[in-house]
Amino acid sequence: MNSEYDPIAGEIASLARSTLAAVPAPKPFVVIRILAERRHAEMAAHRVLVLLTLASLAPTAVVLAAWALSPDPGAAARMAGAFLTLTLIPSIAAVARAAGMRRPANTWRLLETRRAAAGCNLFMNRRRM
Amino acid sequence: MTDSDAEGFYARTYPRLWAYLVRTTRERELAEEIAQESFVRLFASRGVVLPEVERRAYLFRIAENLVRDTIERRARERATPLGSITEPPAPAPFEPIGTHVAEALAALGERDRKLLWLAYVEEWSHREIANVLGVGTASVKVLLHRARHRFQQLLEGSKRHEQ
Repeated sequence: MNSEYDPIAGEIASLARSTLAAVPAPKPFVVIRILAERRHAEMAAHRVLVLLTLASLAPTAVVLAAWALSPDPGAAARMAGAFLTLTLIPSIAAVARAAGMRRPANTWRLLETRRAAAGCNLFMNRRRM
Repeated sequence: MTDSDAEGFYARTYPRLWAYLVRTTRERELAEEIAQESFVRLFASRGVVLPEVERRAYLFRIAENLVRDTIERRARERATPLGSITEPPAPAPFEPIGTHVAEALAALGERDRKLLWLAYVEEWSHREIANVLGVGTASVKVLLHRARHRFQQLLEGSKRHEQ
């Protein structure tokens, strides 16, 4: 946008200059880098866990599909029962592990939690006083 | 992207992102937190390898999503009566630098503020603005025209009031 053609361009540009002059000192780059690396590692670990869960569920799905599609349901049920004892336990364990693991740490949420905690502390300090 | 490139990008872009956030959200603390979190997310993602112009747009898009999340979360918290028990005090709004331009911009709607800032300060194209704000490219032209008109009216009003 060119201020020659647009009268408000100059006004907004001066406001931008004064705002930029009030920018607080940012966190050191090293801190941002460390937080980003940690987040990246957690996201990778989360992805591996999802893959492991899916891989653990696959044998159970195969056994159930084979049982459902079998031409001799009686014999297939016996076989399926035997196989399911082998596959079901790891599958349930994998699902439980995936459900128990929290999602990648979120510094945004941490900041919010910290802010909420500050509010709580303030509240508790007031009570102590 | 080397560490020195990333550091340079951080040093160059942080003030611009903070200025955009503080003028559009009008909350100094929130602007700082979102700006920091946006950089953490950018450096943890594949967006970090994009060319600088696209990387900057990607960063602003992250920030925009975080602002939206915050607004939605606050609306949810307001609707929950239990939230009022542990809710920290509301952050003080960013005090605009006392000019009629700042007052006129603050009086605009949030989307108008964003449109004007991205178009005039960041000097982005309509397509880039559309990408960041999640609206159609064709709509940006119309929305920007209306925002400019409203801003001009507010500006003239505040100037008249000053005299």
